[in-house]
Amino acid sequence: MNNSTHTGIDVATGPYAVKGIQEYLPRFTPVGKIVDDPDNICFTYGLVQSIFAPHQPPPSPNVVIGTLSIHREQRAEDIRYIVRRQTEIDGFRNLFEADITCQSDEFDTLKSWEICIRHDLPSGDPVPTSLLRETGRSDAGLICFGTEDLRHEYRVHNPVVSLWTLFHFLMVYASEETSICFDLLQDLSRLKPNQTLAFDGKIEVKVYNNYALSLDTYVHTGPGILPIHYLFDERGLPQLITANAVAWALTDIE
Amino acid sequence: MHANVISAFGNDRVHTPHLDRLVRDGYAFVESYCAMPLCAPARTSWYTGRMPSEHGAMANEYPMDPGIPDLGQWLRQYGYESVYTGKWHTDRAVAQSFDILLWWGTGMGEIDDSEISRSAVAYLQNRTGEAPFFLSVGFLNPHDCCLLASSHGGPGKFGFANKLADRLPSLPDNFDDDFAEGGWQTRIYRNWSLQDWRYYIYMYYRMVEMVDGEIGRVYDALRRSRYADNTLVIFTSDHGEGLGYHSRVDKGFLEEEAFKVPTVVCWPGRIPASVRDRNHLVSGVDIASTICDYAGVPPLPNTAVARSWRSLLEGQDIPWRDYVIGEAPVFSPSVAVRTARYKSIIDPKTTRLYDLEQDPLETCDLARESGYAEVVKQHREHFRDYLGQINISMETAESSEERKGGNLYRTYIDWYSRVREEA
Repeated sequence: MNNSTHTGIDVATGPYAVKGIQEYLPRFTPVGKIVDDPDNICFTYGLVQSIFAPHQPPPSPNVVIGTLSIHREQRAEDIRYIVRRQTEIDGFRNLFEADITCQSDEFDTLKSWEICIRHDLPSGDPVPTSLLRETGRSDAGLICFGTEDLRHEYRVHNPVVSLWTLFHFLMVYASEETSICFDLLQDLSRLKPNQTLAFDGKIEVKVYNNYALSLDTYVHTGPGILPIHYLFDERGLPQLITANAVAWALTDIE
Repeated sequence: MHANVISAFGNDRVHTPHLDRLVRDGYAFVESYCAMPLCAPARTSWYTGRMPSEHGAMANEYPMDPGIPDLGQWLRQYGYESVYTGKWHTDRAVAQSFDILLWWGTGMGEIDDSEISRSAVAYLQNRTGEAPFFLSVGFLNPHDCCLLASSHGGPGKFGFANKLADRLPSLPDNFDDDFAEGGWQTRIYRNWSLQDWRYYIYMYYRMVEMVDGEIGRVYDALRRSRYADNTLVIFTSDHGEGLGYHSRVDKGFLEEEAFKVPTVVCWPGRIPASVRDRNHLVSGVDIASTICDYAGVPPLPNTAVARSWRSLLEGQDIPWRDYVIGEAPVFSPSVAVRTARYKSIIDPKTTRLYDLEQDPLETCDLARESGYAEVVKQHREHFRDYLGQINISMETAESSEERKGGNLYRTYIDWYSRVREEA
């Protein structure tokens, strides 16, 4: 038994922010494109899953199970995001699409959104009864969302953001002094108030071709959330986002 | 899910507003146990109404008896639309048991649970038929803790715990930090620091909070649907979780943390709300019988141990079982016998006895203390009585593969046979 607070099982496993994707990292090629306009940008990520392998020595195996694309467009009055997530398991596809309008403020605070979800059979035909559409609106401290038949309404006291719209804040405004509080609308449907986001140090990880990638890490914690790390390279690109069983690895920027 | 991780039950380190609402709306069985604290055996007991030694799935990788009907098939036969979404984890293909499968996933709650809840909501909102339905929603979390439950902690960011020091829960009072004499589990986790253990519990609580929101989404959808007035809701878990109690994580053993499960039944207007039933011992093996009873269909065949909860839920004062039994997986043959006050854990060589009224954390074995011989004897009789009721799945016993220690299922069954003959 080790009673020290500073040692423990992560001592030998490298930076904890990337512990769940250590097996994947040697296969990861950081995106090297130059970003001219961070206000109008499209990120594409691979969804990397940790596989349950309790009897295997570390690192846990990883597998890519799908893609996530986040398209941000700065408009005259507001900001539009188009988010598309697709996973494929044994030929069956789970599709999630969101069209989000955000306020043109520091946090890209959520304003209104529409979501469409469906599941497809290997034949490409949608699963009967799987189609679900949801809409939402956040205005003057009141947030309302859900399907036509099932609406939820809450009072909120912090800026309301989604995981997909935090990137821009981190790219443009974040620094080592960053420490903010916000309310998260996870997947645009589950409100999780009182989340925090703070700088969590610099790390260096070895990626494809043994390239040493330096990353600034920001950590998001709060009720109903497993610690999520946002990892930005020296040019401010969000190369990796890691949670527990799943991580996002940047594959392209347009 | 550990039985004590719902905030309505007094845990102030976890915030579960949606489960709390189920507790407010429904009837909670405080003394509720799984048939076996392991995924596939416990789940197979839910769906067949039989104990693990009867359906044959005596461990996750053990097959169930193919001839036993399950709840999906049974209700379908009586005109119900049987629908499944989420974690299934029984030996039988889900399509054999259910008419409709809504979703396919990775097996990780962090990724899948949101999709699972939305698939259930979509089904409730989109279905057009008038046939009654049986919708089984298998959420994964907090089962993602299994990813962390290894010597190296899987993908868990245990090193981050230093920065959460003020938010880490304390260890249970029966956490024993002396690993020197520990069993197989403590050998695995001996390199965990106390902070690692506390971080594991922190993560588990967050996983509970994650699934809480998804449960709320489905419950809301049902309550606001046209099915609200004539639908029974049962919330329960296939097993508990070590969560640091007795210095253990995971499941597969019969101490309360793994054996006991949260169970709440809701049907506003039909079942009384805000009830905490501490007087009746119930089991996951009862679920099929309860559902059949409310569905107005005959019980599944040969469900010798199972009892429908309906009379209890509707406030009838009926004779109830004196004890409830749980079986351990085939790799560590043992049973738990729980009576109103005491619990024994019996294996082929020893018996441990705990007074749960005085010692709910099971720290003091009374089996060899003076004054408890009669209780030990009574529990042994309950065990024999139980063995007299069940129909052991011999087909599975015969077909179980030979393992390092021989045919483990056969070893288990031979022990049962010896106990049966004791009288």
